[in-house]
Amino acid sequence: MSRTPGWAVELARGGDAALVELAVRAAVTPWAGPAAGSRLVERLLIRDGTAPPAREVLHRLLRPERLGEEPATAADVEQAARALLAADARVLVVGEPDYPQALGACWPAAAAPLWLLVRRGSSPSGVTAAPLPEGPAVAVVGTRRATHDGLRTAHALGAFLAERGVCVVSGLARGIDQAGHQGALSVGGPTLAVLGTGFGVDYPRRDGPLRTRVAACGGLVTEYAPGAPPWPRHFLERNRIVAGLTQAVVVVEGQARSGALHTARLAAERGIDVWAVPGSISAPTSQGPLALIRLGAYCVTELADVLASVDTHALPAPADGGVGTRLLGHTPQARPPVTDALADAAPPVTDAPNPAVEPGDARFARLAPDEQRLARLLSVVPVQADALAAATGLAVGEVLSALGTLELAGLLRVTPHGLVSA
Amino acid sequence: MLGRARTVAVLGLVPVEVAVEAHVGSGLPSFQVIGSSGLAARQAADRVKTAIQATGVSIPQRRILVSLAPAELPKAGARFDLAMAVAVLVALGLVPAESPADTALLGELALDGRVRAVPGVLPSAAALPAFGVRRLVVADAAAAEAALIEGLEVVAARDLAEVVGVLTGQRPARPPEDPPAAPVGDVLPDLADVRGQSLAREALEIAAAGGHHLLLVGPPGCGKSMLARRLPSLLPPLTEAQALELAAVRSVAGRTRRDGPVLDRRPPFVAPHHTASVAAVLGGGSGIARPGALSMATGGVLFCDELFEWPRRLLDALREPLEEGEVRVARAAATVTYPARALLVAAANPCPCGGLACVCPEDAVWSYRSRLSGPLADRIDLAPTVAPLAADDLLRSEPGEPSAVVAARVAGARAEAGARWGAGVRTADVRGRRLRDGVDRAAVATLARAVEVGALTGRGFDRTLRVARTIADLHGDDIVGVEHVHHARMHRVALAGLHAASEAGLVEVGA
Repeated sequence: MSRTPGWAVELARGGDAALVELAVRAAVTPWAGPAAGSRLVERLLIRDGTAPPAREVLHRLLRPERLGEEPATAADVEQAARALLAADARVLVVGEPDYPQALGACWPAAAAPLWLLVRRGSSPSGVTAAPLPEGPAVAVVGTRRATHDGLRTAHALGAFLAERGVCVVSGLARGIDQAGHQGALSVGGPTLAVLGTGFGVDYPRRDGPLRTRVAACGGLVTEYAPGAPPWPRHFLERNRIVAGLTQAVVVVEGQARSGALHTARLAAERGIDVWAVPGSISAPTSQGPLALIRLGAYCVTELADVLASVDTHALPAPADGGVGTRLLGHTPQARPPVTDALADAAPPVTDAPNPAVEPGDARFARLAPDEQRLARLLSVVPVQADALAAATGLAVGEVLSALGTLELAGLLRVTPHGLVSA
Repeated sequence: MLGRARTVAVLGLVPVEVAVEAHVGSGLPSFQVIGSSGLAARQAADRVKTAIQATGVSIPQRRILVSLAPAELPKAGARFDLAMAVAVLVALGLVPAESPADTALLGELALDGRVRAVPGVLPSAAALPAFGVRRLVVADAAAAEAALIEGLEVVAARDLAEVVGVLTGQRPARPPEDPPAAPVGDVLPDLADVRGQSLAREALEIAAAGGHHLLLVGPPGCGKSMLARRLPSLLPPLTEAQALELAAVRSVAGRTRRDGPVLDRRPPFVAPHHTASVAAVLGGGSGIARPGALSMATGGVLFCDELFEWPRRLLDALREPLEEGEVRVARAAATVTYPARALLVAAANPCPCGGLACVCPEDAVWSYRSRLSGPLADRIDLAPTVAPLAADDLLRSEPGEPSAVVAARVAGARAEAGARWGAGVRTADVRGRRLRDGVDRAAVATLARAVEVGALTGRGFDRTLRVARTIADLHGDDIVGVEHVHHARMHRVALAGLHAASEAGLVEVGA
């Protein structure tokens, strides 16, 4: 390649066009993917002992490794480049000034990506200079098959963090990831998504509008060329970027073997804080976070806990506690003071007060005594009516009548898995 | 010379008298049946001729014509063989003409002259006294069911020779044998076998008391099938008329009870598989339609397991018969009507993964449950959740109330309903303004409030009122109050969310 093609100069936007060209070619070349890149870096490290410049790595990466492997055709490369230009994307290469600092710190030791393709939509304030939000970032990750409670928590956490200027990083997957993004978007705050596909691929399906909003409020990041499909290994590879971009990873919900735990492991290996939200031990979606806590992850008991991982000196703090805490139904002031847990350990009684329902709740005060008993038994964990009958000793007919009253009073919600407190 | 004999056809459950005439005349030798169509006629001719020869009678080489009248009546099967043979024998002068005059003959003839039973003997026999028939000759196997008809003398016959002997007075007429007594232990499964499941038990009681259709929701293995099988034990035994109707349906289906008395007062339990055809469930088949599983369950329970595996066409087709109480099956030959007053009990998994240790997201669950078509979902008044029992619950909990105790309450509630709506009318069938009588104003206001907040649809309003009325009857309350209404509404929560989910755009529910 004697002359740098025009598209490379355009894409570089004043930066090193030759480097950009190499990066795009590598992104399009099938066998020059992230795995090959990190293997090559490891080999070079062992040989030289120093971090080689990105340009050299890319050159070597693009040499055909095996007989019969063809480099990407110039037409393919140009097509990808045109797609990137059309999407108003930028190419960030490791070592360059606009490459994210947090990720750059992982180079070369911890498999940071050689290149990143970044797309930012037009934000309300116009075109921004920096390709990605600067400042602290926290990842909110979890299972696609989340409970109502988990989604609520992720949403509240996203709003809480974004209100304070912390960028919420996640993978745009259905479930916890999207709930975290939505929470941040609901307060107009920064949020960023790391994709498992290239740009222009409708995955998850029909979530285009959400992608656009995230692009506008933070950005979409991917290592894969435009049009690259959602191969399963992409989602494992992108987890290292999610972890690498942040100062903390919060696992909200996950089954015993979910991808969120993989992200947590990658974070721990890089010295990034891992937080987990404990759930009921009878819920399958709590098994992931509970296992992490047992292995030493920090336990989230309130949203503000997570801020401990982030340097908050320069962050704005909303006066009234902010949207996030309100979304979870309680404000910090109403929380009882922390006492010695063992001293307070009375035997669990079904009539113990449930803070989610009682204090100052006028609807609760209007209930009959049996109805109040039942209301206290409800929680975020779904329960069946005959279990409540067995627990209270009431006849199932009386229980059903009382539950009907609770539903219309807005204190109970019917879900397919059972009854939960509203 | 002309020989005559009488026999009976049955269209559905409706008997029609058929007159057989036989003529022996001049012309090329032949043996022909007319008045019946095509292949059936030729086969009948062959059978009858061969059977007559088997009794030792030699048929003269004449032109023999047998006519079945009325000709335009659709005729199926081999039930007229015996009557045709006797008519021919009368025409040949071997049987005196007056002796079959007040006798009807019903049976198929085997090639060796034996008489075989045919389906539908009971409904065929039912109208014979009205037709002026005093005596009915049938095969041994069918004699017991014919004996149920009063005012009819039943003669059991083994073969054509015996029939001839009886008609000529040379042999005594054999009365039918008594059917075997009901076997020991011939009782319906008892509700006491079920442990725990207080919600589902109560739902069964309400279903039995008011005739409400019911859907059991729960993961595999938690006892839905067991519960469904115990519902017949809560229903009152069939009345004589109902039992006769059921016996007639079974007779037409060829499934008369053989191991006990023909008149079975126990409410039936029929459980077709979800791969059964529409004809097998609702009735059908070519020619004259035969009754399906739904009609075989009349007076009792039709159990549809794995409801979401049933083809939607079939579920949609169930709706009208359940509402009308009868199923009309139209075929090219004839349209017949069978009764269909059964209680529908369905069972389904709660969600696509089956329901044990489930993490299915909510929209996937509602999407799965919306496979139940809208109109049929509307007919289902109760949808209790059945949860699996933990091992120590099974060991610890006491047996529940036995069926007899619950059935007594059910009978009391049915009596109240009968006094209010009229004999034999179930609360579940009541429509319109009559439902609002005897309902507390506060209860109506509560229902209206529920519709307002989207917890209930407009149709659900009346549906909940009906169930609340039955619950009030079970408690002996005259007035339907707020607590009955809440109680009724919460018994259907497994389906209640379908409406809310469709509002939220999560699923599309049929109208």
